Amino acid sequence: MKSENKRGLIDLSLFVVITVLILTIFSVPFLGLPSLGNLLMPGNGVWNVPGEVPSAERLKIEGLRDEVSVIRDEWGVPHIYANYEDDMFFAQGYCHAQDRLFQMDMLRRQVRGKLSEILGKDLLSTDKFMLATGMETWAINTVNILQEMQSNGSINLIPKIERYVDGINYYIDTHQNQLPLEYYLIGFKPTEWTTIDSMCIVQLMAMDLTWNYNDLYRYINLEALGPTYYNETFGLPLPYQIPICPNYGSFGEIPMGSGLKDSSKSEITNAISSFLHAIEKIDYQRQFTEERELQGSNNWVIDGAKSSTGYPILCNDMHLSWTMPGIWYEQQLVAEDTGFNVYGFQIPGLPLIAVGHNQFVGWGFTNTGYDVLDWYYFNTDGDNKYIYNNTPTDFTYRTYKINVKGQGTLDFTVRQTVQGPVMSDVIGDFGLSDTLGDIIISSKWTANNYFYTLLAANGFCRAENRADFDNASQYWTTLAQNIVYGDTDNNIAIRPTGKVPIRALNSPGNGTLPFNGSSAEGEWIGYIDILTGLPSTLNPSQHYLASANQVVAGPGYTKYHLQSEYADGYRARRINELLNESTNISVEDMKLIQTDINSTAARAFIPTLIDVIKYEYGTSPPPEIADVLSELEDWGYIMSKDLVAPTIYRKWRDYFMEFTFNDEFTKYNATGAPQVVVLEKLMKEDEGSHWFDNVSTVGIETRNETMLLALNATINWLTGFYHSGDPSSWKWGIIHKIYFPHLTGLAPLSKGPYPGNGEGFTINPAGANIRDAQHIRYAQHGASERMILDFSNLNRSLSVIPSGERGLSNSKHYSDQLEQLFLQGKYHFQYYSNTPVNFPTNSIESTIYFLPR
Amino acid sequence: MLLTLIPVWQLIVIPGIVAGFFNKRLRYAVLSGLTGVTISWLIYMISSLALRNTYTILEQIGELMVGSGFGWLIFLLILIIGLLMGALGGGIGYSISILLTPYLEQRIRKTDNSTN
Repeated sequence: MKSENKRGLIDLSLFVVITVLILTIFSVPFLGLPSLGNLLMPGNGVWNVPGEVPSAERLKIEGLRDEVSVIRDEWGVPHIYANYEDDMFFAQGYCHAQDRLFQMDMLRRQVRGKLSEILGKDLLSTDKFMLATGMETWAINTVNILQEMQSNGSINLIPKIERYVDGINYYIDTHQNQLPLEYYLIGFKPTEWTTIDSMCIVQLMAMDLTWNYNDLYRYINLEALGPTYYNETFGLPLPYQIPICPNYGSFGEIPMGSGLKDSSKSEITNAISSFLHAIEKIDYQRQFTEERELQGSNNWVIDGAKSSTGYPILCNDMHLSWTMPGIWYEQQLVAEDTGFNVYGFQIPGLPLIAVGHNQFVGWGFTNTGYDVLDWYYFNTDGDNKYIYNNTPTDFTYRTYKINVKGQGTLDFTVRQTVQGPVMSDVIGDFGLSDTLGDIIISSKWTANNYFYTLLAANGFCRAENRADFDNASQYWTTLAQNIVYGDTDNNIAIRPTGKVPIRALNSPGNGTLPFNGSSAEGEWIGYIDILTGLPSTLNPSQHYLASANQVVAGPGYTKYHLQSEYADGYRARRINELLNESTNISVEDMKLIQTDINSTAARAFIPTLIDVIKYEYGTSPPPEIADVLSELEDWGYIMSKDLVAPTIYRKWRDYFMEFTFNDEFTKYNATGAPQVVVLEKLMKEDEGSHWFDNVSTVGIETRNETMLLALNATINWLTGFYHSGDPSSWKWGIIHKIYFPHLTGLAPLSKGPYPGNGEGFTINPAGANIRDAQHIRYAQHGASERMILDFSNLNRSLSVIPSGERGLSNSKHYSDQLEQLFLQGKYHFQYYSNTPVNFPTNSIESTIYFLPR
Repeated sequence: MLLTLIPVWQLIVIPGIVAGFFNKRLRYAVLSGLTGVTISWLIYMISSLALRNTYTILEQIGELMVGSGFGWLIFLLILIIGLLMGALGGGIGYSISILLTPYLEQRIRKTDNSTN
């Protein structure tokens, strides 16, 4: 071989080897990401992520009846103008997919047990859990029943949902190679969207708002504390509540609840404890086990007598977990053929509008805390039978197939009792050995039944008056909400609405405790009629209505047991205080109320603390106490990030709670803690309460001593945390931060942390966990939207979301509303009354025309 | 650059091979492959940065892999990979041409002889 050829062969071999090496390195997964080549090289991955919506685009769509204009304003909010409703829903689906496809995809996958399909076996247990709850099964059943109702003409909804789904699928089909970044990071593509997927999202919201384990925790605590101590800490009604519906009286000065006389059984307690310990390991379930507080929100409405406009003003801010992108999507939907014209918020993946207004009426939601979920324990009789009504009874079964990435398809079977799925069957996957013995735990939940929530939403969007709205309300079954209402005829109303079970008489605990299913305790014998059986108020003499997750009605409502838990009441007290005292309230005033950070809880506790300090130390407190006292005395109870007193108050309150209750709770093996308002009542009205005594010490501590012990602990803790004994450095915004995590948890796609105003109990809430100095938990929950409706001129209505309209992290609308509006307490106009012809030109960012093909 | 339309990024070696095949010297072969791929990728990437704000995504990827503010590093890494692929492609193309040249010359001589 000539030397040239030899040289050429050597060079070729060398070049080929190096080339193959580099190609291989960049073709294999790296650091949990897909191959860097597929992710980063031009023409692949990140280079295919869509940019901004084109400023002008014309799309020819098969099946469209007429032209649709989609105008996006300067915040990227789409205003959809169609001649026909079918086309309008198509465009809504397209916009949702265009802006929030990954978010929608993840929402449906959660419910349908399809997370492990894309994320691998680590999510298999979560998939099994979610399938076991029955949410997907009843979403499918509901679609079937709605299709039957559509076929026999009793409803007109399914074609609209299907057109919405068509819009989503059109976007998916035409953008398979232009996907959001998250698809390239995880390495999968979106599949077709179905009506069932949309129904599953309704179910997920039902879980977020109504699912809990509180009956089980109450059982543990009743066993641990005994009835007397249990009633002192967890009895209902909570003190100082201002009922949502004012026409059923007020509680005034009330003793704690008359008491639960039922005693618990230790073998059941052990089984329940084991079950709860396993549940606490499930990521998605931790939100229901750690804080155990009702997911809350605020809404209120004033009538023309109280407003500066002579017409109602309605406000709503729903408190949900903050995520990037946010849970809500703003849009306007207009269809000429039916006069449909609604602006508001919806969860991507769902058609229609959930919260908002049309030309006549407006509405908003807060969570009721209605007791719509019960837990049952049964004894088993072998693997295939359980004891029900003292009789061995066969289980029924549901089977599923779960696709697991890298492992193929697995079969999964759920056992069912007459009450519902056996949830204790799925806890073994979380590493807990079988410690339940022959006891199984089953749930019964209103979401395990047909639900007509979208029928209600359809009715709300078309309502022209209170009667129309009421007619629609009777379909609002799952996710029970305090629905506040206002209209252009100067009516205001509220109805805590939802499907609430009626339990058989003498059901032990009346829904607050788990039932002995084997003895057929706790049978649901019906549901409360939404329109005639639930409390409601129309045009009250006080000229306003407000709900912040407090008790729905006063002692005058005696029909049925409704709530087993509700909020402490601090936000409700503040809202009532502001609305009750004021007249001539304007939209600007409403902005201030919605963003109010004056802490009612601080006002409840701090004056007493100041009095105690002065009483105990006289005029010469120690220097460190004097400094703190000075901060507290000068404070106006504003939870500002720039102030020091909020930090002192907040940490002291934690210690006061801990020193009051933890000793007994630890001694008796109770779990959790009473609500803060219970401590307020003890502090104010029962100075000599045994709870203030520390049972682990020989002496008897008084209330004052406990408060001062908490203060000293606070000073020491804050000195350590801030590395300074000078209180002037203890600024609230340093320890209290708000954070908006991305759906995947990836930090580069998240926003914050930002120094945060407020606390969990302010009208503008941001509750952080500051117990552990090494693991301060940011506030990740608060107003997920803000809306102010001005019924004198709906075009002046305002809204904002704490993220941006688009879920694409490279878009200017990913976090613009968060950073430019929400964090500053600002809002944007809705352009409600505009049309494609008179839409302000300088507010139009883009226009898409959908044209019939 | 046309190959960026095909989502098989590995094929970017091919332009380098073609460029290298028609060069008489190794250094020019490597250089032409390197230059061709790098320039085409640069044009593609800059236009994407301008039209789709892709730099924000590069920043996010950089933060995931290295830390905050390293989007430029990701950009550079991509360019370097393109540069390498082009250069290696040029080298491969040149080496193939070296190996094939004697056979091609022989065929050309045969063709000339038969023509004459």
